[in-house]
Amino acid sequence: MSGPEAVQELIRLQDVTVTGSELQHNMVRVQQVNWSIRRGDYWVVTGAPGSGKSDLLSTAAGLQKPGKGTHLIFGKPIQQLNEEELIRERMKIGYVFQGGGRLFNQLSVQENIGLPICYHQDCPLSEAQEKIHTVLNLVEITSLARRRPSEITRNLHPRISLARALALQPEVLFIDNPLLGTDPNETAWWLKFLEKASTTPLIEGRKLTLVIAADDLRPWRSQGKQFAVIHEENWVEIGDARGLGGKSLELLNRFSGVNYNQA
Amino acid sequence: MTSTLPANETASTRRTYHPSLAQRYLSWIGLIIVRLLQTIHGLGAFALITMGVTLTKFYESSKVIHPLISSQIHRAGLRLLPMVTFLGFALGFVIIGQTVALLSRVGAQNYAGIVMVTVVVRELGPMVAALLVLARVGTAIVIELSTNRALGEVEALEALGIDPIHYLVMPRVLGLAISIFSLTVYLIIVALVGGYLFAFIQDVPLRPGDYFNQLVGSLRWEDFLLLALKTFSFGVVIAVVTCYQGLARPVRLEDVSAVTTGAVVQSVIACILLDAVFIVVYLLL
Repeated sequence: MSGPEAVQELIRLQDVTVTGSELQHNMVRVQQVNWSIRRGDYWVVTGAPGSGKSDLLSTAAGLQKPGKGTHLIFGKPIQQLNEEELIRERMKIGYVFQGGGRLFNQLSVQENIGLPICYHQDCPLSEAQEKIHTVLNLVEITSLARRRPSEITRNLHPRISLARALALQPEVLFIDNPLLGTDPNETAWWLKFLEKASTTPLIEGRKLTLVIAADDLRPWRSQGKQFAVIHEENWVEIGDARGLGGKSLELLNRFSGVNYNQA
Repeated sequence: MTSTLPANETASTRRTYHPSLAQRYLSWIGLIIVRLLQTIHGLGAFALITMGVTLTKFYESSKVIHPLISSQIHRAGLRLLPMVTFLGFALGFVIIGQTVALLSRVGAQNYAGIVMVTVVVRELGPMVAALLVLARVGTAIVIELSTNRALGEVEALEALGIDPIHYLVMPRVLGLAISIFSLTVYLIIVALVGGYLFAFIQDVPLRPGDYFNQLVGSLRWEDFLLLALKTFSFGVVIAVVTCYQGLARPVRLEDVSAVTTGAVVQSVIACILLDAVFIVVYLLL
């Protein structure tokens, strides 16, 4: 691969086997993943709960090592990068964890968001205030800046985690199950925000490349551009929204128990 | 073995292996030795990684990391001062009460300084300060780090490009090393003064000038050097063991209490072994 195509392709997994964490005894979660994430993509990856979506996202984002196969991040094979190079490349990738976003509970919201900025720019929190307030404004939680996560409803934790991920101005944003446990208002906010992030330049004048993991595909059908399913340890690429029919629809109905024909 | 089996034993029964009590005991000892070696290997590797990060990244992100070192010194040093003052006086009272009064009765009060230096400066001072920090701060470190690990906050740090060893371990190692050194010096001073106060109350015929001269005469330059080395080593060992147990291996929330107990036991054993090494060094000097 060379030239503009290589530049457009941000992340590539080739014949990758995704394994679970050490606590899960490194068992195989997804096999034979061939996945290319290109600039401007909006991927929605679905699968039954426990099918390995989180492990797949962690692996694609470079947080977990693949069991087998080739993994390229911004054109560079991850296995050949040393620790510093890997961190440099990984900082172009934002990651929002599932179920509350794994915030640092001993820090306030603004300290949570300011930590990566201050750490990488070697500055005190006071000098990062402008950036912190920019992302707080972006995700509409400015009023929560001084509160600790434990003082805020868990419904909003993923949004704080999103602000923290955006603080480093990533090129690709991985979001693991953002609608898990959210109320209808919060669901509407997420869908609206992500649509805006994928269509209008939000950070540094560029649109975000998005990868979402979701238990239920229905809320995403109208805005996702590319879809894939994890089914019985297999990676099945459906394609765009037009692909959500025929065999793919049967597959979706089977694994989720939801009748996507009527939904 | 088969010749002793009854004639009606089937082949499958004969293949079943029933180890004797001695064999099971040996297996258990073997398992403990293997686990011990694995722990030593893991701790050694973790200590080397921490040392590497401390040497190469000490000045990196200093606006974030250096305040964390200060807060660890505050937590493991300043906040323990009242407790150390109490222990220092208690230690002084006990040692002077038991030894100096006795030495005076046999006319050997000239050895009071030597006893105080040997017992307080070389042995009890560093060990008491180290065990106090382990009890008050070491346990808290294991609990907070293992909880962080179990809740996935360590992975969140990695996702933000923040080195967990640099952000979580290095400040604790330096903080505990500096704190134990400072607390030991403070504890020794309090114990020596407290001890003399007790002797004074008990009417022991020992003038302050004589007591001070005995202390000065008993102290050698090696005492200062080895005291510094020993206390820093205690701090590093306690921090490395507690951070390793809390952070280096994946844990679940339900494992936190077991991990904490294990870390305390390992820290105490490591400190005693280290103390034994220093006793040998004192004897050789």
